[in-house]
Amino acid sequence: MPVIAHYSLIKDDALVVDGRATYRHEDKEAGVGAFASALYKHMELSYLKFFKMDNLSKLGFLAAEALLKAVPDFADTPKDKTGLFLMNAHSSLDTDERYYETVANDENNFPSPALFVYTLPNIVIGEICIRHKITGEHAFLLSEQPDATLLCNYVRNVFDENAVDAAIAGWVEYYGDKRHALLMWVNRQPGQVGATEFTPATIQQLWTIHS
Amino acid sequence: MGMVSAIGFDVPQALHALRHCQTGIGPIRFLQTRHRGTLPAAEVKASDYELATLLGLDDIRDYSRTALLGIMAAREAAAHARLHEHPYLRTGIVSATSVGGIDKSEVFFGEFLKDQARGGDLHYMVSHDCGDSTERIADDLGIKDFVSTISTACSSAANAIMLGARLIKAGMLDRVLVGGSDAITRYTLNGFNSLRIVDENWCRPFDQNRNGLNLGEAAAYLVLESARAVEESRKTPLAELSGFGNANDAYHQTASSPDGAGALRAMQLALHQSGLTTSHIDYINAHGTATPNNDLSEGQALKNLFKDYLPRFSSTKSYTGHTLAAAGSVEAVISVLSLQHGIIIPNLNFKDPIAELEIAPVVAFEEGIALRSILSNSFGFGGNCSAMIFSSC
Amino acid sequence: METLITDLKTQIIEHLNLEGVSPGDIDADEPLFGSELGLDSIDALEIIVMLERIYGLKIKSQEEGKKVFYSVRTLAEFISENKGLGVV
Repeated sequence: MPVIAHYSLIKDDALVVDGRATYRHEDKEAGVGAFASALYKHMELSYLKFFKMDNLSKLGFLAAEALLKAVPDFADTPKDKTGLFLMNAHSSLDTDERYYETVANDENNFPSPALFVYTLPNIVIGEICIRHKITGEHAFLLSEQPDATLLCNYVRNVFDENAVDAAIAGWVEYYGDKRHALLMWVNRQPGQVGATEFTPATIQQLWTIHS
Repeated sequence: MGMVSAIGFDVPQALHALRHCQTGIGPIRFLQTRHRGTLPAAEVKASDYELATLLGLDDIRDYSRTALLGIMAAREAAAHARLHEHPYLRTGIVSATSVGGIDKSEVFFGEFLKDQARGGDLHYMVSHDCGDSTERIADDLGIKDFVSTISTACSSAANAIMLGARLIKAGMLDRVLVGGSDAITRYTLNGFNSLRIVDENWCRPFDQNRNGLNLGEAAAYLVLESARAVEESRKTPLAELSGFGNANDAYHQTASSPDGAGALRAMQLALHQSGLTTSHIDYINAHGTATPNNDLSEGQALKNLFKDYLPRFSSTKSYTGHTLAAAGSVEAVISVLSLQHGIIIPNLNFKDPIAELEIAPVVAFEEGIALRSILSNSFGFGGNCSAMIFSSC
Repeated sequence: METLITDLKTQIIEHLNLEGVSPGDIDADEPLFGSELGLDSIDALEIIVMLERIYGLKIKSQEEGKKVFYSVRTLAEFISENKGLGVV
């Protein structure tokens, strides 16, 4: 039975790792861009590509940075047996709309390749994989609400098949003024301090706390 | 199985076109775009209204083209598999899309930007969420037990098939409709064109002088059934999904790594799961988009896997265009047709092998071949690499 | 030419979201790609769009692109040679 060994959560103005608030943005009303840049600086990251990402990828990227920093044995985890399973409701709609403005009319038609690239939700998976050299199985699911049962069953199936030894699983959403990322580090090591069973109920609990 | 694509409104029409090497790629006729007359595309040969008429739908304002295509192909698949005969079996749908309702949103935004005070018709926005087309297909067929949408770019449908297979293996469903639907939109045509990977001529997969892809649109669905469901309904399966694999290339958002590491790993995983070896694969339906990057990378991965014994391979995107999120299921349908009829569909427009690889796809139609297993590849932006193996029963 | 070079540097920084880079950090004669700026193929495509939108100039082939995009100076030279000729 897989367990949730660690988790990171970004909601509104806060970053929470394993239940501890590790960052709170001073400006509650700050836009996602300012929030993400501030968090990037706070985490003392140095990764030029970050600034080219769209907002959804920035959120997922930062949540993954925070999560993997909390995983002591990540370096020893085989990257080809590490999976990544994410879901959200609005896909890449925020970027879809921005990109659409660049092709909206035929007279002023300058489609932006840099925006177009991010008009797919699974690009956030690609960004995390590139950053951490993760090459295992992965998928992006769309679901109107965080669907703990679907996510749990999916990830358990993959573990049952031994397709992965560990996985990042969760929800990454950005649209309008809503930003919410919950990433869980799931592995097969029972008896870890602080680990909880990976069940729909425990996932649901993490989804609903800190709100 | 069901499929609507540039080479026909159903599977028999597609089979006829494939047997006669007729491509569906041609001048743009239906999409409103400034690229009409310059860029070819593989359009389904009907307007939204014509599609709606064929489907018997009255008010299609809420239906995106992606949903219309999806309903058409899904109905064919459901009828073919006689889903209605055993309503007590747990039945689900896993559908893939990358553009979702973007075509309708284009109409909305177009109007919205023209006259912001008046605002656009909000009906059009209803269909934007990517999950919308799946919900509409599920409603149309009365599928309730499981409804899910996958979006992993151009390998989406392959991932939908994989998820469906897992749901059956885990005993959660008896039958599942799997596949994908994506319509051509100005949005994607302009986007791929801005990446400079759209050919102004017919695409030339695996050719030294290939110059990009042709965009296509399609919907294709297959019905996967558990052994128990097959037994109870006394049906003869068309083929077995004997293995699948998925890996991330972890190289670049849009480009494949030069050695095709992700592709190689996905193929190896699929082989491992099927219990087969490379010598059991009789044909490969390649991803073969005809972009300089994909074909070189995929070709390298094929060489690395099969060494000196590369089986026959071709890219059927030279018929259907690149149908994005639907490509995996379009090519799954074509692979199953190949197994069923013992045919190999040749790669169109090929002249010279890629200098670095020196491998050549099949260029002439072949018939009467006993095919045991077929490998089908699907790769997508975001480093998503998927491979599936279909075997004759 | 020097004004154009400074303009270009500012435009590149803005269009490519080069956070923390100022025009002074970019050497006009150093190769743009493969440098510390970490530009990739998508950035090249974005510069193509920038040239079209701001200067009405089109890059005809990949070979031409390679020469023109070598450095900020080659880019400026391309613009000053072709500007006024309309879309080339």
